[in-house]
Amino acid sequence: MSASTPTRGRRPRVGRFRPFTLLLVLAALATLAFLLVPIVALFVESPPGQTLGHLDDPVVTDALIVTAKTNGIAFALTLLLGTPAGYLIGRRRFPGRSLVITLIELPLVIPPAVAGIGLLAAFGRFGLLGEQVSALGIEIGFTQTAVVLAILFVAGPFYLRQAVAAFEAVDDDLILAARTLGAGPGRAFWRVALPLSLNGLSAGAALSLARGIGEFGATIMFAGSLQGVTQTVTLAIYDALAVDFDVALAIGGLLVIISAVVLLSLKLLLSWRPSISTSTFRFGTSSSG
Amino acid sequence: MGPSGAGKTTVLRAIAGAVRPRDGRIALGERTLFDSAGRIDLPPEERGVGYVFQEYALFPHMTVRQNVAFAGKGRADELLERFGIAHLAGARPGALSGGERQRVGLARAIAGGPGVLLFDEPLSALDAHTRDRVRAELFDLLHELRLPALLVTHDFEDATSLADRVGVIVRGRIRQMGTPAELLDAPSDAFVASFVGSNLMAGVARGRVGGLIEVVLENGGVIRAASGPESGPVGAVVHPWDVTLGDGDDAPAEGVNRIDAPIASVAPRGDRMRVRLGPLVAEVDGGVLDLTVGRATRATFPAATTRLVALEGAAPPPSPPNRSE
Repeated sequence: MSASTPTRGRRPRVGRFRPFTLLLVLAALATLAFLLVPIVALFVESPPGQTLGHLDDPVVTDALIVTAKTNGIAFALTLLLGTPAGYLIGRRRFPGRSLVITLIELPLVIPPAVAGIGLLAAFGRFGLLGEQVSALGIEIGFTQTAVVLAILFVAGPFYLRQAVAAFEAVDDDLILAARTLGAGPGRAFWRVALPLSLNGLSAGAALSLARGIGEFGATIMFAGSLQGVTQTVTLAIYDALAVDFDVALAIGGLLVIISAVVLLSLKLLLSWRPSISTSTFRFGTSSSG
Repeated sequence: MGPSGAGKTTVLRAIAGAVRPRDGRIALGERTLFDSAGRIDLPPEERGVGYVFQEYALFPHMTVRQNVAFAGKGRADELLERFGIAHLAGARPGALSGGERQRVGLARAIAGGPGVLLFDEPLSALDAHTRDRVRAELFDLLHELRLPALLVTHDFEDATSLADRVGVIVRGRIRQMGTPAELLDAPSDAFVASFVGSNLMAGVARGRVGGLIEVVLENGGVIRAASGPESGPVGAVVHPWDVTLGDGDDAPAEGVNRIDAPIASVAPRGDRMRVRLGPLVAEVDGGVLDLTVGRATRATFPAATTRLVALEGAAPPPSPPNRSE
C-alpha cells in the first residue's frame, strides 16, 4: 500500500496521528471529567465513614423512610397503570394518537416547580378539584399523598413513554400468531408482548425510579418539607444546607450510593435473563429494548 | 397468486381475523367466521385457523417445544417427531435454519387442530434447493392431513405442484380461477398469461384469414393465432416450450408462425435452456443447437397453440422474478 492510497475500511492506521481522533478523545474526557467531579468531590468532602455515621440522625432516617414509602407506592402505581396504558397506546391506532403521545411527554419538559404549582392548582384546597376533594374530607396538599402524586406526575411519564415504545416495537405478526393459536388478547399480552418488551420496560422503570427518588421541585411546592411526613431525602438536603453543611453533604453522598445501587441492580436484573437480542455486548441494551 | 401488492396477504389476514373486510362473508365449512350483513365477526382465537407466516413469526423468547405447544401441550411431542425436529426441542428459533424454522411454524400451526391452513409465501424465504425439497414435503403433508389449505405465492411453480385450484389476483381483483392446466391452456387475460410464464407479444389483430386470426406484432412481424379477439390491441400468448429454434431457410409450413431474430440471452434452467430472442422466450433442450448470443436464429411455433388475449391498454406486469434469465 503506497503512502498516497486513501484509507478505506475499518482498520485504523497504526502509529499515524489523526487530529480528529484527538478532538474526539478530548471532548470525551472533558465530558466525563465534568460529570465525575461533583460526585468525586462529594465523597472527598464527606468520606463514606462520615456519611454512614449520620445514619442514626433522625432527620436522615425520617427522610429515608419518607423517600422509600412514597417512591415505593408511586413506582408500584406507575407500573400497574403505566403498563396497560403503554400497551394500548403503543399498539392501537386511534385518532389523536400522536397528540396523546405528545401529552405524555409534556410533564418531562415542564420545569418541576411549575409541575408543583400545577398540582396545587388541581388538587390544592382552592384548586380545580380541590373543593370536591375537601368535601370528601380528604386533604391532599402537604401530605404524603401529595408526595406520591408529585412523583407520579414527574417520573411516571418516563416509564410510560418507554412502555409505549417497547410495546410498539413488538412485531404485529407475533401477536397475530398468538391469536390464531387460540390466545385471547390478554393471553397474547401476557405470554408474547410483555416478555418481548421487558428490556424496554425495565429501562423505563429504572429511569422512572431514579427520577422519582431525585424529585425535588414539584414535591416542595405541592407537599412542603415536613420532617417525617413529606420531607424526602432531596428535601432534607436542601433544608440541611442552611443548618449544617456536613449533614447535607452526608445525605447527598448517601443518595448517590442509593441511586447507583438501584441503577446497577436493575441492569444486573436485565442481563440475568437469557438474551434474545443479537447483540454480543453483555450490557448492550438500548433504552428502547 | 399474483404480483406484490395485489392483495394476496390481505385475503389471508381477513380469513384469520386480523383485517375486517368492509363487506362480505367468510365461512369455513358450516361455520361463519365473518358476515358483514349478519354482524358476525369472530375474533382470531375463535376461528380455528392455522397461519404459517412468511417470516414464520416464531416466538423468539420461547424454545421450539414451547412454540409448538403454544396452542396446547397435547400434540406437541408427536408433532415434533413427525416433522423431524424433536432434536431441536430445546433450541431457540434464532439458532435454526430457514427450513427448520418453517417446520416449527408448520408444527405450531397444526398443533391447534385448525380447520384450515393458511400459508403466506411459504417457499420464498428458502434457497432454490431447499425450496424443491420443501415443496415435495408440503405436498405430502397436505394430502396426509386432508385439511383445506390456502397458499399465497407469486411463483406459478408452487401452484402447479401443490394446488388443486388457482386464483390469480391482480390489484385486489380475481382475474381467473381454475386448475393450473386451465390457466396455462386458456389464460383469460394478459395478466394471467404472463403470470403462468407464457410469452405475451403485443400487437394488433386484423381479422381471420383462412381460419386463423392474423396479428401484426409490435415489431412489424405477422403471426397467426387460433383463438381470441379478432380485432383491436391483443397479446399473443405462446408457451416457451412450444417454441422451436432452428436455422432453416425453407419456407415455414402452413399454420406455423415464424420469427427471425438474433439471440439476446441464454440461461440454463435445469436441463433446458431459456433463450430470449426478439419478443420471445423459448425453452429448448440444451446441446442441440449453437446458442451463441447474437447469432441470427429462427423461432417457430404452431398457430394452433397460439392464443390471443385482449390488452387493456395498461401493460401487463413483467414476468415474475424467479423467471429471470
